[in-house]
Amino acid sequence: MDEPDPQLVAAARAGDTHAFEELVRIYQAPVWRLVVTLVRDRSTAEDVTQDAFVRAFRFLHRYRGDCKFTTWLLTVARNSAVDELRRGQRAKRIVDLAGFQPAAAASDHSIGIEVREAVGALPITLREPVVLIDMFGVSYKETARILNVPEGTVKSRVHKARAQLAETLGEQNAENHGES
Amino acid sequence: MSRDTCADRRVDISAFLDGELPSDRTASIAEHLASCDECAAYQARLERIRSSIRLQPADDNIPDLTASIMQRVRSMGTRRAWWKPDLRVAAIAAAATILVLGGVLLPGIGRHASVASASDIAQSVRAAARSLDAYHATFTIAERDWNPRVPMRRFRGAVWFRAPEDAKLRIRDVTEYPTSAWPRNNVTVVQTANRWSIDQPSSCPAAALPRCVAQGASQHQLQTVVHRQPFDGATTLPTDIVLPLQTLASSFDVHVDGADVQMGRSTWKLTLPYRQAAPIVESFEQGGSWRVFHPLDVVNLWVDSRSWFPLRFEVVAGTSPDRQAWADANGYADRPGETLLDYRTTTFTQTAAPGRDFAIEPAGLVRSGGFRSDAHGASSAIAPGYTAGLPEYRAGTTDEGQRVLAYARGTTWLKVVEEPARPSFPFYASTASQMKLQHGWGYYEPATDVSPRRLDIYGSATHVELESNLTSDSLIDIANSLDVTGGKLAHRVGRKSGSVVTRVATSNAFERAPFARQPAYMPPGYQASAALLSHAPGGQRTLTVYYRRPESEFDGVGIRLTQAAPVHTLPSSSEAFVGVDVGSTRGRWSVESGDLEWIDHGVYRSVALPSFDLSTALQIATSLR
Repeated sequence: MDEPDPQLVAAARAGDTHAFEELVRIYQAPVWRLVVTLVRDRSTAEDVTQDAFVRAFRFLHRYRGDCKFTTWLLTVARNSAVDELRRGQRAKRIVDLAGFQPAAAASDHSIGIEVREAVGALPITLREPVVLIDMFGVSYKETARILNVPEGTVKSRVHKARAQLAETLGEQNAENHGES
Repeated sequence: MSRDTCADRRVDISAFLDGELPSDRTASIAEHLASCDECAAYQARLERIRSSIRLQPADDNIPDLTASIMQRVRSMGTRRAWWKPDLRVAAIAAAATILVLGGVLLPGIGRHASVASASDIAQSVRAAARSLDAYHATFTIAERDWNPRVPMRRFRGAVWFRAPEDAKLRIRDVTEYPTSAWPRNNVTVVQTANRWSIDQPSSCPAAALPRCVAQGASQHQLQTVVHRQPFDGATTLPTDIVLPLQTLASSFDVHVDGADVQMGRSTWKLTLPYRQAAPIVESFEQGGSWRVFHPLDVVNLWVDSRSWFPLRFEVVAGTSPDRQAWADANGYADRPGETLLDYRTTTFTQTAAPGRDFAIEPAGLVRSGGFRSDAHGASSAIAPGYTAGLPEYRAGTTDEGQRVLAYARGTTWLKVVEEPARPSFPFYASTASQMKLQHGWGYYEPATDVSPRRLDIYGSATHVELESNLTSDSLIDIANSLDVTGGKLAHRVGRKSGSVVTRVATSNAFERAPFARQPAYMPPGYQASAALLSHAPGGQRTLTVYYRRPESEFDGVGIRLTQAAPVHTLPSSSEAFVGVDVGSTRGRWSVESGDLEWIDHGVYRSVALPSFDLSTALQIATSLR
């Protein structure tokens, strides 16, 4: 992800809603992609993405410029998603009781659907680093900052995630690889 | 190569694929992979997985959430519903037992004087804020037009405070709702030095999803913060309902109506715009759902003339056409001059509540504030030599490695935060006022709705940040007593697509941009605080000057004057706006953001002032010389 114009961020931080709207337009797609990968539900992802940006606007004054803006924004989005996941059981109960149908799963692509489902099936502690590193191209250092864990932990978790994915997808991939 | 050895290297192989190994280990792994078939096969396997993830087709059905996000941001942000807690604690309570018991004279006037100045009252409130040890009050709130089906809501509440940081707010909703399914807006917030908790109605939107409530789903959200940082902005309690320290921080907008009587006590009745009174009005809006007010609504505030406690305040709908347009857009049936909210203190005392009343057991959604106390405050290298008379309160370290020293007396507080100097430019300082200190330079920002007054000093090895609810003058005196020499930040703020943005001195900003005109009029108290000049590769230049009041600017913006040339058409806008005449040319007034824009002979000019109305914008626009 490209970094925004620092002046745009500064203006948004000073309360300029036009500037913040521009940031929303630029980054809502990656934020939504991260969120939907973590919460695994499109409807919930829309709510969480909105919450993430509202939270970002509210706490923009805390961004000190000591990391990339995109790293900070992804941290806010990730925390919003984690909060949602923590509320997950209760939220599910509310939905069930209210008789609402859960929204469709995030993926509707045939290509890559197995990979996405396999990533989605990973425990959250492994899903987060592999999504950030392999889907968003975030560095280990930035991932450590977003997840608030040491860099060494990121390194071991992303390996563990890949190893688990290899087990889940490995035979099929190997077969496909062999057939091609 | 043994199987165990290969297993040991697998984590490194994964990092090797990402280019995240140190150079010495990269060479070692590369050499090993060249000679070990098993590890090379493992590398290939991980690479296939990695490629599979990266080659996933992007979801092309991403919803455009811009409108809904901005609606929330605009309705809650620029119109001040987000008066954040940063300042609330600050303001906490404060009127003094001694003052109450002994009586207090306004500076410069006698007890029986019939007229006091706003600055006299503000000074008395600041004095009271330094000596309040404890406070407890009960109150009632009547709120009009929260929902068309509930024209009036009523609440009973209580607030407790024990200096410097123990506080509790409890609000109970006694409204008669159409049915029992309507959620009661009951909120309890408790704060201690180390913890903070809130119990508020669930975000489950009962009005839209009544079955959420009808089925007995959880109606409350409980959150707890442990390891809380002193005077942490995100986890503080409102305190202006105890003592209106922030509300009266600046006297520019405060009018003294005269003496009056409330609760059988002698009071001063003050009138001020909501944009200035937001800290006290929104102080009880820590959680739950409340109606929103407009910056141009009028707040009448009665403060006890001895204790300076607020005994009553009311919000009255403003009469400006902009205000009416805002009400229509937000679905409020407010009539100009109508009382929208009435807060009345019913009892108060300075008796301290026992500590158990502030006890917090972690429950619900528990988060860590990432702060650890220690006892090394006074000996710290960053301890200021002067603290405006505030004694040391707490010291510690954050998870991010910041060193924190806190000082407090009554409800007045100071926080000193130190961290190693950062190589990157702290861009947020671009709108701060650059000022000469005794040792180098500092960067000052007034209080906003999201942060307290702050002053940053960027030394060669360390960055020191001062936060406080003391006055700007006191903050500067404290900065001058620090053993840190502040550097001057680089003038260049940023660069994008070839455009270069530089900070320029406010004293000669207009000389450096001859196309820009200087305003001959600004509302009382507003001063140029920062100026930025942008040069685009095509030759377009833009001058942006921020005007702010020295103590507080609760909308975070103040007044922003932007001028750019050459520009021949107004930029596109997604906002609703109305056409207006600006002198001899036609302009655009965006009601929601408070932005007046027009083109003047090839120059784009804009006056953005989210807390004012069109008449003030036009007054500034037509004063440009």
